[in-house]
Parts: sequence; structure tokens; C-alpha cells
Amino acid sequence: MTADPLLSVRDLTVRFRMPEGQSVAVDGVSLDLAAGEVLGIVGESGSGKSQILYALMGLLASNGAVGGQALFQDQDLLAMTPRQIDRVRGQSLSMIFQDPMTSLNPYIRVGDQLAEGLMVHQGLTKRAARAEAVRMLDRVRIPDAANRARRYPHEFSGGMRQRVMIAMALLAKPRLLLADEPTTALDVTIQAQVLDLMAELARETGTAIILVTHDLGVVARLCDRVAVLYGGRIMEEAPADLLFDAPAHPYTRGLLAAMPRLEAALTPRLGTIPGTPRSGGGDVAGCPFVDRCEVRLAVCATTRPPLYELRALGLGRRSACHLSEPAP
Amino acid sequence: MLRFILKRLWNGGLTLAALVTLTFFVMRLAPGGPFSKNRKISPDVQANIEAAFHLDEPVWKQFGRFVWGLLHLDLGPSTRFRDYSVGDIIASGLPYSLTIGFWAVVVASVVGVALGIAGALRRNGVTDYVAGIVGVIGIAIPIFVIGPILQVIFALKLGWLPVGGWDAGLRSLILPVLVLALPNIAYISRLTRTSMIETLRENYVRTARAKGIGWRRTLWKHTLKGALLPVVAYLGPATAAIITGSILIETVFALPGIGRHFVDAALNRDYPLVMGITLLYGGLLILFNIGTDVVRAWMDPRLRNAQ
Repeated sequence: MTADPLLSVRDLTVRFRMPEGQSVAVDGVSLDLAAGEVLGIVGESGSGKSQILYALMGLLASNGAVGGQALFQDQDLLAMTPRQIDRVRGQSLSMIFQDPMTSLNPYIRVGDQLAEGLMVHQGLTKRAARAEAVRMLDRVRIPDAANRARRYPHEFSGGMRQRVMIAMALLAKPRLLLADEPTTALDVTIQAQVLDLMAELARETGTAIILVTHDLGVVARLCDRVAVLYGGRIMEEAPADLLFDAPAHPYTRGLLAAMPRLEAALTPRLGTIPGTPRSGGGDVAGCPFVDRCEVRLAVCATTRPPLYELRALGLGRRSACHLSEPAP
Repeated sequence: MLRFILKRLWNGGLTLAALVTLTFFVMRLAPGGPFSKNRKISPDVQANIEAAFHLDEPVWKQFGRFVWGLLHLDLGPSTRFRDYSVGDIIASGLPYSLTIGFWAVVVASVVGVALGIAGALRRNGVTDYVAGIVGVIGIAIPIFVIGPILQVIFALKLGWLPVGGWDAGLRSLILPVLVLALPNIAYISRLTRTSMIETLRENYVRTARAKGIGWRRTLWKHTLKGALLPVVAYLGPATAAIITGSILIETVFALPGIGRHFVDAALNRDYPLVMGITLLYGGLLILFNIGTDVVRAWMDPRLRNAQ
């Protein structure tokens, strides 16, 4: 979409070796991300959305294999040696994980966990790195940061721990932040607060974000652009506001219908998508959504729909549905 | 921390008191006495001997006498080894048992942890299989089998090491320490391996990798501590068990340690000696348990607050 994207993913696949055979988690995903842009990836559990982030970070489980290309600042993340990826991870690429309760090391003081990256990557002294860590904790609004930095993770609440994770991720001023459902483990009351903080700090440092979530409200609130994932493939991609106003793909329409809306508070039931979500499994010939789709055609079961550009609906809109095929 | 240690010591003292009391009366309940196995002697002489050891007094009075002695750090005379006090006997045997036990613990920890880590890092590699085989052998084959086998190989056939005894300095330590350490090497390496594999799967280790601080630092700074906590928890009681459990080793290798006295004393109804060794073993076990808890609290900040 932009002339020179920060991240350019081409045909990313992630497969897992399982006892019962190969499982395809991510199936030919292509994405572009501009500097400072916030991209949301939404999908149900098992749609492969988190695995995209793990693949980019080089953190896939040991039975996972990755294919395709991911150019980040003109280097392919997927073809790097461990040493090269370490250099990228600590400086220009960061990640925030789903569960803040278990993602911090329980045996190391919070301040030292933050300082560690600065010492290793920027050669700061322990003292300077600690001071920097305290400054960052202060910015994520940890009260009494100087004292808090000397505490251990179990002395922090869940929301505070996730703010510590955010501080840790943004400390190196990365160009790209990968956030894997950063608020699902938190109380609803502080989810918005943590997300806003993350977005605000990222904006200040010009950091781009890929935000993986199953919460469409979060997407509407924070994201510039959205990719809807199903069965490891992108079903639809659109600017966030356009997606909510006029979803193009049958799956996206189903998702939106299943979302509670204020103006529809009087309708007794939420919409549902029939069937159960597919996850993993072998390769499929046609569209992964075919079994649950209410407008399916005969061709859907046999031919995989390409991700069509929808010029008529606006710039940067794509939909992987045979019904979206532009008239010749 | 100091308060915690003092509290544990106080509790340990109570436990020890209960243990000693129980042992005292259970010993008295067992049939026979210190002098009932001797060859026939006249009733007068028997009575004289028993009076000399205060065995003619009622049991509660004997107990009072024992406690009084204990408070003065006097465990009384052995009824079997005349002219030796229980204190003398323990003092003469303990250094040997402690030396062997100490080195066995050191060898078992170092080798066991190293094998366990190597196995966890290269799962199903050569080291892992070798460690697994050593583990099975160490756990399955009892000391009184592996001991003589090693004696035959290294002492009789090769002549590198003495068969037993304590005269050859360091060389006489090697076989007993090895045999005593073997089952623990086995257990510790398995424990370390499992714990290490589990810790490597922890989310916080993934966070460390995501920070790009390098594999080595991830391993040393972020993985090892958590992985070794269960091993430390095992080591405390195990150390006490190794030191006190050297009875078989001392028999197989003819060492002048304290373990063999324990069995002899119980069989001979040597009341004072049994009490002395029980007190010693109980005390060691309690001390090592407290030591373990202190080390674990030092390693894991979450345990500090719980206390």
C-alpha cells in the first residue's frame, strides 16, 4: 500500500508437525505495514492470528516450520540466523504477550528485567539502564516507579504487570510492536486503559503496531487497518472504519452480526455463525469458510478464492471471496 | 529472615523433643535389655550392673535422668562399649560419615545437575540417553550389589583403589563416595531434566527470548533459577539421608563411620547409644530442612512473603 512499507509479509505459512500429521496454522498470508501504522488482526481462537506474530519474532514452538518472506526494514525476518534475529528483537522489534501474570520472570526484580535489554543491546551501565527503566515505568504510570522497580512481579497487579510489559517492549523505542491479545487476561475495567496507554506511547515514539485480538471493539478503537483471519488465511482486509460500515466478506458480516450493538439492544438474540470454527488441519482446496457460509457457491468448495482488490469499495480493501470477484 | 530461621529452629527443637521422647519409650517397650543377651551371670551381678546404669529405677525416673543429662550435653555411657561414653563413640565415627556424605552430596549435585541440564538441552541426544541409562542403573541397582562389583573391578582386578578401609587417604574415599552418590546422581539428573524442560516452556523464558538478549543469557539468567528450585528442595532432605544412610556403605567398605553403630546399638539394646544417634540423625534432618527452606526463600522471592 505504501511505496516503502516498514514490514512486508509475503505468502507467510506456518505448519506444525503433529503426531496425527501436519497442521497448517497460517496459510499464505501477505500483509504490508507502514511506519507508525496500527494494524489489527482479528479472528476466532485457532485462526492462526497469534502464530503470525510468533513467526515474525522467531518464537514458534519447536515443532513449527515457517515459509514465505517477511521483509522488515529490508531484511527478511524469516531467513535470519539466531544472532541476527536477536539483534532485531532487542532494538527495532518488540512483542507484548497475552498473559502478563506468567510473562515476567518471577525471580528477577522488575527494574532489572527492564534494564537488561538496554545493557545488552545499547551497552548501558547497570546504573544508567536502571534509571532509564524507572523513567519508562513512570511513563506507563506505575506509581512510585523508583521503589516499584526494586520489587518482584508477584507484588504487581495484573494490569500493572501488563503495563510493565508495555514499558519493557517500548523501552528500546522499536519501529514495530507486536501485541498478542494484550488485554484478554485483564479485568474489563482496565482493558481500555492499558490499550490506550500502549497506543499513546507507540504514537509518541512513532512505533507501528500489529494488534492481534478477537475483540472487534478494540479494533474499532485503535486500529487504522484491519485484517480478518479465518482458518489461517486473510478473509478480508480494509481500513477500520470502512470494515465496520460495509463488510465485504460473508465471514466478516457474520462476525459483525455477532457483536452486541447499542442501537440493537432490544433485539433478543445476537447473531451467530453456524458450525464450528476450523483450526489447523491439512490443506483445503477451496475456501476454509465454505462449510459455514450462508451464500456459498459450488466453486467455493473446489477453488481457493484469491484476495481480490475491491477498488469500487475504497482504497486498500481486499476480500477473499468468489462473490467479491470484480466484473471483467 | 532471621525471625523465620529462629521460628523454624524453635519448631525443629520441639520436633526433636517429641522424637527423642518417643524413641526413649519405644526402646524400653521392646523386649529384652542391654544385659539380657550376656552369658549366664548370677542374679546378684546382673542386679549390680543394672543398678550401675540406673536400669533398676522406674522408667519415668530414667527418662528424667536422660533429659537432665541431655541438658548438660551428656548422653551417658554406652552399655555395650564399656568405658566409652556415647559422646566419644559419636565423635569418633561422625567425621568419617560426614566426609563421605559431604563428598557424595557434592558429586551427586554437580554431576546430576550437569547431566540433567545437558539432557534437557539436547533432548533425545547421546548425552540424554547416556544420562538416562546411568539414571536407571543408579536407581535400580542397590548399593550392596554395585559396591562389591566396583570393588572387584577397581580394587581386585585393576588394583587402582583399595577394597575398603581408610588407610589410603583420598584413594579410599573414591569408591564409597561414588557408590553413595550414584543413586542420587540418577535421581537429581532426572529431576533437573524434567524441571529444566518445564521451565524452558515457561512464558517468562519466551519473554526473555523476545528481548533478544541471546541464548546464553536467557539460559543462565532466566531459566536456571526456576529449574533448580525443585532440585534444591530435594537436596536438603537428601543430604541428611545420604549422611545418615551410609550404613550400607560403611559395612561394604569397612569404614569406621557411625552408621554401623546405629544398627548394632539397636540390636544390643544399647539404650544410650540409640538415643544419641537418633538425636544426631533427627537433628541433622531438621537442620538440613531448615537450610533448604532458607536457600529456597533466597532464590524465590515469592516464598519470602509467604513466611
